[in-house]
This record gives sequence, C-alpha cells and structure tokens, in this order.
Amino acid sequence: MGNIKEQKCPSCSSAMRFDPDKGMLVCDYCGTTSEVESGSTEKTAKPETDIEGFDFASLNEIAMQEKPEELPIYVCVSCGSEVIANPEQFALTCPYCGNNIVLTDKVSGNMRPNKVIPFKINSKELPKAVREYYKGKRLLPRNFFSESRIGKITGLYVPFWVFNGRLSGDVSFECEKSSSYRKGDYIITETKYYDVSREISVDFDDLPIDASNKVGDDLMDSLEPFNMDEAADFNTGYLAGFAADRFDVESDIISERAMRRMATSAMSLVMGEVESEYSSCSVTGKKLSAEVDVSYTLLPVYLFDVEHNKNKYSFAVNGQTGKVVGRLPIDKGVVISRFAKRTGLVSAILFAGFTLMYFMGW
Amino acid sequence: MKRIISFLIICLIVAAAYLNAGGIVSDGNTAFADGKYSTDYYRASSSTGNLSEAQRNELDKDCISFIDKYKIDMVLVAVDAKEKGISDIEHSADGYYEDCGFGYGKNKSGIMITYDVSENKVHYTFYGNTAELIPQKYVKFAAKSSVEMFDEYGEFGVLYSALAYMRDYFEEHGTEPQGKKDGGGIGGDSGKSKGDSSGNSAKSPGNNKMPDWYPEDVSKFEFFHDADAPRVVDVADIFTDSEEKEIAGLISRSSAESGKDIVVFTDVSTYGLERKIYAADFYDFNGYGFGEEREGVCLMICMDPDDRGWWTCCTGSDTMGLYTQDIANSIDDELYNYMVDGDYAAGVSDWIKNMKTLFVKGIPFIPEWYPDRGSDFVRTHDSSAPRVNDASGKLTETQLEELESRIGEMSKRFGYDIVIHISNSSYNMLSDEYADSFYVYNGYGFGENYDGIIAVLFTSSDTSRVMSYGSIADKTTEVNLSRLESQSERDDKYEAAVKFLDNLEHMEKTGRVPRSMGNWIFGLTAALIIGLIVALIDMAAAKAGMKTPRIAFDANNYIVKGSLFIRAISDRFLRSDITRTYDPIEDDDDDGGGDSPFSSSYSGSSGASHSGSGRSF
Repeated sequence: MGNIKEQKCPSCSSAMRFDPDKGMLVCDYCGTTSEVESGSTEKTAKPETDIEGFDFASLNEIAMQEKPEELPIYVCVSCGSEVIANPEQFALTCPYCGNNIVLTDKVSGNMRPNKVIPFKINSKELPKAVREYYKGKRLLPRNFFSESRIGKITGLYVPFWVFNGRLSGDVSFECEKSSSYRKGDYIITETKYYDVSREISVDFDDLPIDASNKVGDDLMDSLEPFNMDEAADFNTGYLAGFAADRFDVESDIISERAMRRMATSAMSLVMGEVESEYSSCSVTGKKLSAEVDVSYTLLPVYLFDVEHNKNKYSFAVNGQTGKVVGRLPIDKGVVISRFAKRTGLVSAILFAGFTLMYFMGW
Repeated sequence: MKRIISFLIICLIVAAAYLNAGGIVSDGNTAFADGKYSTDYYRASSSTGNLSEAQRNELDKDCISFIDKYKIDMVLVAVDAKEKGISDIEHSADGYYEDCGFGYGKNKSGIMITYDVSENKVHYTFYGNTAELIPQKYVKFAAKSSVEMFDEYGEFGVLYSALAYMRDYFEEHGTEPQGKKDGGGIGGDSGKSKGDSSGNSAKSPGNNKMPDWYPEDVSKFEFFHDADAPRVVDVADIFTDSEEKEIAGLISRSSAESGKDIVVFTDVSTYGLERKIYAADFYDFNGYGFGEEREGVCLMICMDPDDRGWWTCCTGSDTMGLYTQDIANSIDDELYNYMVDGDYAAGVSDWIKNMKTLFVKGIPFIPEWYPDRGSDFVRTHDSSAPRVNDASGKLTETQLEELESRIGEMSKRFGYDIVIHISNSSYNMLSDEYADSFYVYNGYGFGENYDGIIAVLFTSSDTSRVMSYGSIADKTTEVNLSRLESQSERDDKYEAAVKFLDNLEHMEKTGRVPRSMGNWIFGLTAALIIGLIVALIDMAAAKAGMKTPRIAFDANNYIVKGSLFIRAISDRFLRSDITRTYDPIEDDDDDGGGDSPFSSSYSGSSGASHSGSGRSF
C-alpha cells in the first residue's frame, strides 16, 4: 500500500485546494486560507546533472516497473476508500469524497521535482479564453457556437525537463567560391572548393522538454513559452486540487529531443556565418556536445475536449499565460462557400475595374 | 603633268650642274647599239648645292667606271624633294632617266640612285633587267646603310656609299641573273622593272598571272575615267548575247537616271585575290566611275566552282553612304534567290533596278510615288487620288469600289480624309515612317492641317499601322490607335479594312474604339485567375489558423543573448574546377539581321576606298 499526503483544513479538517487567483491553499468549506508550506521541509536529493552524465536509468526503472496489475492501492485518509492511481499519477482527487491527495512515495527521493510553476489562470476563465480563441476562425461549422460543449477541464501539472547549459563543438563544411568571366565566346566559371571548419559555442536557458507521454508533444511545444522566473521550489501544496503526473518518457528520448532542438539552432547560426563567406556550403561533419543542467519541473496546463457533433477536439491552455492551442473542426460547406465568395468578389472587382477603364477611354 | 613638271625641275637642276661643270662630257651619241650609252649628261648631280664640283666629278668618274665594267648604267642624283615640290620621287626619276637618255644598250639597263635629302632616304630604281640581278633584301639593306653616311660625309658620302654597295654586290656575284629574286617586277617587253628601297615592290598579286586589264605595276597606276569601257564584262560567259545586250541597255538607262556608274563583271577566277579586292580592282583599273569621286557600283560575279559568289563594290562617298548594311542585306536577299536558281540575267537585272532605285530615291524597292532624293517636294491636296490603294492586289474590284464608296461617305460625314493602303512591305522603312510618307507624298488630307487618318495593312507580316493627322489626332488616343491597329491585323485584308472602318465609326459615336472580344475574354479570364489565387491564399491562411499545435524543431527562443561564439578553425583550399560554357558574343556587324558579309570601308589594290557586301551561292 502506498503512502499518501492530504491537504487538510486546520480549522475544519476539510480538503483544501490550491487557488491560482490567491496563490494560496483555500478551504472551500469554511473559507480558511493558508500559505503553501516552504518546500525546505520536503527536500530530497536533487537530480540535476549534465545531460551526458545524467542518470535517468534509476528513475526509469521505478517508472517502468509498475505494471497495471501491480498498481499500488492507496487508502483515502478522509473517507477510507481504496484508491488506485496510474503509475505516473501522483496527485489526484478521491473519487468518493473529493479529498485532494498527493502520493508522496512518487515525489520523494529521485522522483521529487525540483521546481513547479503554480497555476495562475483559474479554470473559470477558460470558457472566455476559448471563446476568444474561436474569434477569426472562419472555417468553423455554423452551429459550432450553439452546439459545441466544453468537456471536463483538468488542471494538470505536466512534467518537463528544463535544460540550461551550453552546446559547443566543431562543424566541418565543404564550401565553394565561384567566379565567372568572359573569354571570347566562352563564359569561364572557376569554382574553388574549400574544407572549412568552425568552432561554435552557444548557451541555452530554460529549454523545456515535455516528459509526459500522456499529452502530445506538439500540443505542449505550442504552449511555450513558460516564464521560468516564476517557478517555485517544489511543494506538494501547489498540487492541491490539480492532477499531476510524473515523467514517463525515457531519458534518451528526452535528451535526444533537447539536443536536436539546440543543435538545429546552433547549426543554423554557424551555417549563416559560413554562407556569408562562401557561395554555397554543405555540412560534411559535426561534433557537438552539451554541458547542461537539467531540472525536473512541473508546468501548469489545463486540458479539455470540446465536443461537437459527437466528435471531440483536444485543447490545452497554458496555466501560466492563458495561451490556448488546439484543433478545431473545419466545415466543408463553409470552405466551399468562402472560397467561391472570395473568388467571385475579387474577380468581380477586377473585372469591374477593367470595364471602367474601357469607359474611361483606356 | 606631274611627270613633266618633275622632269623640268630636274632638267633645270642638271642644266645648272652642266653649266657649272663647263661643258658636256660625252661624245654626243644618242642612238645606241649594244655596249653603247649616252654620255650627254653627268651621271652624278645635286640640286641642293651641297655637292662640290670636285665631289661630283669624283662620283661621275665612279659611275662611268661602273658602267664600263658592268655594262649597266649608273645615275646618282641628290634632291630636296620637299623643297622642289616633288611628291612622287620615283616618277620624277623615271622621267629624268628616260628623257636624259640614260641606259645601257637596247634594254637601257641601268640603276638610278636618288637621294631625297628632305626624307633622308635613298631610292634605287632599276631599268632593263637589272632588278633581276640583285635581291630586293640587299637593295633595302644598301638603301638603309648608305643614308647612315650622311652625318659624317654629307650627300657625297651617301651617294658614294649607295654606288659602292651596288659595285660590291656585282663584284661578288657578277651580273648574271640570280634566278627568281624576291620582289622581282612583272617585267616584260618594256625592259623596265623596279625595286624600291622602301619595300613597295612591283605587284604581282597572289603570284598568279593577272588578267590583261591588270596594271603591270600597280604602284604606278593613275586613276582615269573611261566612258567607253563596256559596263557589262561577261568573262565567265553566264549571259547570252541578247541578255548581255539587254543588261547593258538597262545599265545605260539606270546610270543616266541615277548619275552613278553601274558595272556588271563576271569572271571565272579572282586570281588569288579576295572577291571584294578583285571587284574593287576591276572597277578602279578600268576607269569606271562618274565624277571626281568615281561614284558608282560594280557587281562582280565569280563563277569559280571552288569560290562561287558575288561582291557588290561601291565607290564614292555618296554611293557608299547609301549602301548601308540593312540595304545590302535586302538587296542581296533578292539577288541570292536568282543566283541559286541559276537565273543570272534576271537576278542581275533586278539588282540593277534596285540599285537605281536606291541611288534615285535613297531606298531600294520603294514605289514610284516616293519622291526622288534631293527633289523639292511641295505638299499638295490630291482629291482625285484613290482612298483605297491596294499595292498587293489582294482586293477584288468590287471590294475596292465598296470600300471607296464607304470611305467617301464617311469622309464627308466626319470631315476628314480616310485612307486605306495595302502594301506588301515597308521597304526597309519603319512602318510609321512608311505610312506617314504614303499619306504625305500622295496628297492626302483635308484642309490646311491635312486632317485625316490612314491605315496601312502590311501583307508580309500581317501587321498594320494607323496614323492620324490634324483635327482627328485628338480623338485617336494612344489606346484608340492601338485598338485600330490590332483589330485590323487579319489575313483577309478586306475584312481588316472593313473592321477598321467599323471601329472608326464607333470611335466617332462614342469617342473610343471598342475592345475586341478576345480582349474582353482576356480581361475576364485574368480577373478570374487572380480571384482564384487570392481565394486560395485566403483559404490556406484560414486553415492554418484552425490547427495551432505544432512541433518545435529549434530552440531559438532559448538562446542566451550574446552567448554565441564562432571561431574559424580552418579554410583549406582543396581544388578548383574550370568550366567553359559556349556563349557567343553577338557581332555588332550583324545587327541588321541579314546574312551578307558587309564592309563599310576597305581599300583595293589601288588604295582607293570602297564599301560593299557579297555572298556565296
């Protein structure tokens, strides 16, 4: 049986939740508020290290060893019900009594996040934000506003690995310089080839890489940027009232994504530099390495579906900035109608101008 | 005349020398058998006064000694050619030599050495067969070396040295002919040939035996005019007698009208000369050309199987100015079609007509209505001139009458002249220039401003040109003119003329010429295509906004400002490739677009300037 921690109201022992508006724990029953406890009392070992030397293995072992049939059973201290949690889930609400529970055995030791960005956007603001998002989306079905419905909103702390550090190394190119001149009836083109090598070094700050398989990478990437300056030391108090997952993506996949994004930017910079000196270049080799610090950070995201005509469309909202991303339905009838109207309107204006020119003697 | 003047001058010089010497040294013989020579005059003389009597006697003595020993006359003269106004010292030397009776034996063999003090140059002139005895190179060497004696020994030194070089040569090589000498003259029965220290040896072009009319010595040729020389010389025999007679008659009439000499010459060879040189030489050496500049043109047709072609050689500044490259190409284009078909007489006749038209009107092929060059044209109104002029013969009589009738009615109604001209060509003129010329020179236009409009429909290119004059010019805006022209560009010239008149009616009613159906369709199609493109771009943008999740591929937003560091480690040269792409430079000379090689100015063997063009066939 796993260990749990609950946020109890000191006055009435009801469940407390973290209020994004107040930035405090709030008891909805008696109205008591309390500051989130300092994280110092909960601190455990930091997993920060270089990407090359960072040992994700032990974390993965823990994450992966929990098979569904072996899922631990937690007992709600509030109502005594048995609660089963997914392996990656460490904050949840008791389905029987609504008590907010943190599964502490999943956030201790190496599993403990370093940082957390608390929710700043209240879930009540989401319908308005979504309506704003719909503005200008001209291909939506005509009945979308009247017949669509926002499903259950889940406030979720999504696990990210945040990278800080330097990417450096050497890049080799084969470059060309061409010059042409005329000699009689011939154009002589002389092309000189060079073996070019450049050393590059560039620093990156707070690059977040989604560490959860539960949410699509494209959805999480599109929610960027997060303001990491507002990140607080991890404290389970911030989790009250929200769901939270721990990382479940393998370390090599995360480091590969981080390296690829950093390398793409670095190569673009060095390529631009070399191409300013030569007429064309192609990369013949590169040796890049990273010296980075990695921190395990929970980032606030609201997830919900919008239902329309029995179809569900996934949305995500940055819980810190309110940025909305998602996929919207496209109505074919609206597409055809809009295309025909645009074509007709532009053509008619042009042809009218053409006719007017005739009567003006042009 | 020049020869006589030179002769007189030198006679005076010699007479003075003679009187100064106190008498004649000879025995007075004037007719010579072999081994005899005249001794009436001193062999050495000077007109400069820089030769003392003793020096002259000394040189004279050496000359006599030379004559006796080598049986070759020797004459030494020093003269300031510039002061005496002698332009051609060799001519003067010839006159002096012949008129003083110099020369040894029947062939009057001899060498005359003339020292031109003003030029500091020695000229050797050889008579009889003496040029064959001494290589030209040696003569040049002797001339160059002997003048170097002037600084130290004056005129005497130069003359003495020049004589000594000859003596030394004969001393060593004898007086037998040395075989073929470089620079040897054409020679012959006259027994006179020449070498010139300046290297202008007597000409023998291409080492070929030249035709009879070719001068023996080109350097001595003097231009002349021979009005009686035949203007058709058919050496290649490509014309029948009747054709030749007909061409000669045509030439005679054309020359009389144009004031230019026109010559046709055929041959089977150019004797190793370029065609253009041979044509120029034929014209120059046979006394062709009218006036001081010898104005005229010669068509030389070479029927050499290995070099068959023609060259049109123009002479005189006016003729050369008229015969531009564009015109040359046009005329040669016409002639070429005849020549490749072997229709030589017809081709030549056509060429003569074209050249005559060019000389008379300044433009080849132009019709008769175009005024002659230099004529005082006075613009008039000709109400009787037909308003539909079909030079192409495309319209039927009925169509002509119908158009004439309609134009007459419209002209009355609109108050300005309307002219339709159908022409095969613009005759090397710009189309608007041609249309304008036709309107002006045929007396069209109403009133003092010559109000009217003309449409010229060209059959060769199916293009048209519309020009307007006077009061109608305000109505015919650039757009209206453009529409009048474009809608009259049709194969069927009657339809084109009717369309032009229809459009003119519409323009009078509405102030504008209607657009063609094609133009409306084009406008509609263009509007639709642009509308579709705009709608597609709009749809792409709208669709992109419907799906916002996107994978991030870079980390550009997370680069720390100022942290980028790039250092060059190496820039090592590996190799180089050179590629050559053929891209010929367009020759400026070919701007006219024709195929004829064209020379705007060149010289024949006589040195006279010519221009011309030609082709092979």
